[in-house]
Amino acid sequence: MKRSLIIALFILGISIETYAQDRVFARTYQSNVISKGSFDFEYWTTLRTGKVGFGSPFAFGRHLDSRYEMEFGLGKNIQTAFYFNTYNFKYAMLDSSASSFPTQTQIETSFSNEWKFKLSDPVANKIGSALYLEVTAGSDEYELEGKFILDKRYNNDLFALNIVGGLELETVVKRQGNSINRLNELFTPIEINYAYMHFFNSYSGIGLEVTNRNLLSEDNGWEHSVLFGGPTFFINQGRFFVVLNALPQLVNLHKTDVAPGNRVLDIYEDFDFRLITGYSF
Amino acid sequence: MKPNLLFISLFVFATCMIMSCNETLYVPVSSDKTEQTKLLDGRKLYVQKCSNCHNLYLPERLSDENWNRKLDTMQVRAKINNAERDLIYHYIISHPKK
Repeated sequence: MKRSLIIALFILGISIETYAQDRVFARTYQSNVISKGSFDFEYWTTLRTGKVGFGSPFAFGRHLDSRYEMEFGLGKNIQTAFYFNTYNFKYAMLDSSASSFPTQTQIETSFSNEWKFKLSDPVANKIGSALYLEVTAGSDEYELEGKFILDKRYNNDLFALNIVGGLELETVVKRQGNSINRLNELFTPIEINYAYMHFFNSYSGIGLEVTNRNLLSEDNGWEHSVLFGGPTFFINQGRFFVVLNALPQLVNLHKTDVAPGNRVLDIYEDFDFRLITGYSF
Repeated sequence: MKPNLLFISLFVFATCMIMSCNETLYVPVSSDKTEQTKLLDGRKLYVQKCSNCHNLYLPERLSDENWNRKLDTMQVRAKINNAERDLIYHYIISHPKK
């Protein structure tokens, strides 16, 4: 019994010390990197639901995404990570002539590699900063993403801001005249993440994350600018940490012909929940 | 009209960040050159050795005694030798008292 308790405590990482990973947000990155020789494992689960509503072609749409991530500290303020992503989308298309809408499942997988270079520290310097680069190869797209990360710790409060730019090359199939062609379309997502966390102590905190997602496409230019926002909660028990965030879609700030509604429910969801669990080795 | 919401929130966020920029790890100033060098070395080591693994704590967050205990615990993990530990400890406990 005693032995089981010791093993359980070890697994949960009950300890008073802070270890390598200081992740406290689910969407917004911080400038810190893990130390040379350190290794973190993270499992992300994202449930995205409610892909229905004005302008949406779906009668039902729900995603369940998973990410298995391994981070390695390389020293000199550099870290890298490799992760495997799965996207599971269950949906039913609207069909005005049908009396029922059969559901279908779409599964995509991808592999990513990220690099983070810490430029300054959020406590030792006026502001913490880092550069981030991520490359993804997936079953239906290739993606390159860069982030400029800023953060600042002020007593029991942490502020973070990410400016994110990406290039996505996605395969689409289109009818052109009498023929059906497979084409590669280039999309440029631009995202701004900002986050605030209040720490109750070194091991827990509650905060807010706000995300603004914009999409620029070759065909339609600036398609939309959608604002999301919701609470984030984190617990850190020694080597083990949990981050939980709910991110409802709030409003489309840039309405266009391709995204005329107050919200964009054909691309994004009504609600998005993310749970990250991690362990530092 | 609605894009204003984005700019207002960005402005509020930027203001919070700029306000918080005043709070940083203190940079020692001493008229004694030897002491000044010692404190600066302590600060450099504290930033180098500790911020690699976790966010730094401001010196005033813990008592001198707690810092002593904390450094004992972290010394092995962060591969800090005794001389480096003493420099870090000296820098930490020499912070300007408010």
